[in-house]
Amino acid sequence: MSIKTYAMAIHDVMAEEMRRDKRVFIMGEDVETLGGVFGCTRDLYKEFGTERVRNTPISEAGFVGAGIGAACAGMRPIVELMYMDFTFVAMDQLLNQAAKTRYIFGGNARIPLVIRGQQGIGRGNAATHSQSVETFFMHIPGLKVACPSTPADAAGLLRTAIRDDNPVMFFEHKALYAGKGEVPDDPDFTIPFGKADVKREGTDVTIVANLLYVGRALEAADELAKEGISAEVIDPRTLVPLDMSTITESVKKTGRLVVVHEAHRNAGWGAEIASQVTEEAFPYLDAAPLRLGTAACPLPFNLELENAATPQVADIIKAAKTVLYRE
Amino acid sequence: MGEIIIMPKQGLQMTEGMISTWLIEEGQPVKEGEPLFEMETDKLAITIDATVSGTLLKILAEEGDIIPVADPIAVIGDPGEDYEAILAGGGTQALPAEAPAPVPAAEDAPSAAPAPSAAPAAAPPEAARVFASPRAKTRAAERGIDYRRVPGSGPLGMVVERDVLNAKAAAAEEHQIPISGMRRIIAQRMLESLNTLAQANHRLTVDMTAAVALRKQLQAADIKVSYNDIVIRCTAKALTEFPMMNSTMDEQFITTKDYVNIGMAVATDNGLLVPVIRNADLMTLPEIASVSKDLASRTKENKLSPDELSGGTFTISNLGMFDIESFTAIINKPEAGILAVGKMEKKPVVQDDEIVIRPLMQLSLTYDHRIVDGAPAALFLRRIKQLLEAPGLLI
Repeated sequence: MSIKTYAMAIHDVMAEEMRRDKRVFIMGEDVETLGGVFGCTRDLYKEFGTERVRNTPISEAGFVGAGIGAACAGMRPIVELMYMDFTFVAMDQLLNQAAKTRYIFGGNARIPLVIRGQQGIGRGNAATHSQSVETFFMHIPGLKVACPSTPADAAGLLRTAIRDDNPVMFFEHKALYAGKGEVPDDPDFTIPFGKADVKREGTDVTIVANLLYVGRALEAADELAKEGISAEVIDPRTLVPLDMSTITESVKKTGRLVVVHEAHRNAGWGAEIASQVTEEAFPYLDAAPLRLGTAACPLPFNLELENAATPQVADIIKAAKTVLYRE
Repeated sequence: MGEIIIMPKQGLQMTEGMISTWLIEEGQPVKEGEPLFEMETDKLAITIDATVSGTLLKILAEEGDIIPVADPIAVIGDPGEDYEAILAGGGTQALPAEAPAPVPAAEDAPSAAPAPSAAPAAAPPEAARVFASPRAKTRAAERGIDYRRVPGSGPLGMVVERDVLNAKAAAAEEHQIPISGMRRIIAQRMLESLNTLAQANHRLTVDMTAAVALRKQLQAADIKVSYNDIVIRCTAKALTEFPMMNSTMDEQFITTKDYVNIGMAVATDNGLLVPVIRNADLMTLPEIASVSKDLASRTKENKLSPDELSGGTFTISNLGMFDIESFTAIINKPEAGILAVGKMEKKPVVQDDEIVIRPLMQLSLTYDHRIVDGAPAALFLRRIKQLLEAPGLLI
């Protein structure tokens, strides 16, 4: 085990995988000498050269497409997007090409591609640089969606993503990069996709969260414990594939569900989970599942307003008490 | 046309009702205003008339079923009409004519949710509806609790899980058990007996030394008889000598019988049954032993024919096996008396100014004072005692 930041964990896994497999390479904006805006590719060009750590123009549709082509041709590209908000520039490449090529060609083409980058609030980056967009990629079949909340999850999930023969959307969070945690040193440490992690066990209410909100859910759980409420916190870790059985079993135990995410509440992935739980575990529910998410407004530039638009720890506590009929 | 008949609400507190009898058979025509079925609630029994004319297409609730207010119980429609389509289509939900108009929820159950304002006027009374979370319902079912009787603490008075768990913990828990046909019959007969007969009671103690010796003699000869069999045999003989104890009475006559059919009370899981030993006065003790054993075992297995449960002229009930020393039995109408047998127990007895140990047993005779006065009843009971204390007299 080593103590690493979330950013270092990502950096190190990419380096290890590039050493392990010559087909792995990185491309993106400012990934070369700058080492990426958040330092995830820092100095990698020194070891692997600028052929394998390639700068691209500001042209997401172009270099995402290039990544798909390279993957199709046998390489295993890691394409870094400076902000995952920019996936929207490359939507046709992602949703029509990356997601569907293997299917369209009857399994004869594979797209072992990782699209990774950061997203989210915390720096007042405003409406087009602070979004949480992972839900978009759950809707179109063909893409896997990973969202690590800790350095260890980032390392284990990224290694699985790089070794996967299918396109993976890998969502990092800008406010998590500096956070530290233990990461296994095993160069083959992977975390399987589709396996949720119970971050905290509890008996009264199930709180499902991802990315930044895993930490906030755990904070809320600490506060709830002081009032005698035992909250179970579950991080699905990958939204595609989605480990519904861990969530459903938890709700069967607790009888109450709160889903909290930074993605917009309206039509967010929490709605999908709430709906599936209602279908699968209806007789066990003591209250309607509650969803918390960012308000249906563009994310404000002002940090105070950003806080106002997004769920806070107090909101999670309130939601947990609401489904427990306690106030 | 198609009309769904629902369980009518007969009073403010009624939440459910039991269908006792359907007065029209499925498939038969029915006229508006004609009696359709009889029902009971915890408070009343009532006959409900049909509200429409047509054919009783389908009976949804069988006799004995307990149905929540406003739930469908039958469908009336045109001959040959598909009742399932009527049910699926909602039909017209009809309240039978006798039912009072639905009362506002607020009056009936202050904690219940008010009816949605958009509810159509013809909707069933919302007052009967109790909101409960799915989990509360699941928990209640697991624990055999009726969630509709649990006070709800959730929004709009909804019953939530904690309410069910708390209800379980409460000491003053009550359960409603539907009254089975057998329980109902026993209840009716016992009450009728006490209400219509002049029941009086005599008791005495029997020294069973000789009966014990007799039983041992028979045992030595490999003949198994119980003390109860000996009591039956002695009582049968006494009844031949006291015909008024072996009689029935109606408004005009007391009818005495030259035959003695002894009913023996047998406890079963569902309640009391009284199989009958016919012509017990003509049987030997081993014969009585054999018949009583067979009847008792078949009674517990519920394998008796109706004939074997009727025609008794006198009943004997024995609770000695439960350590009961003496008790008062209720006469099994239309008989004139019943003998209650207690536990046989060794006790100190004064005999010839000496204290000796004797096996004693108490007999308690309940008799109908309309037929038999106290003195002859006493003589009858004393005669049984004599026979038990000197069983040689049986020969």
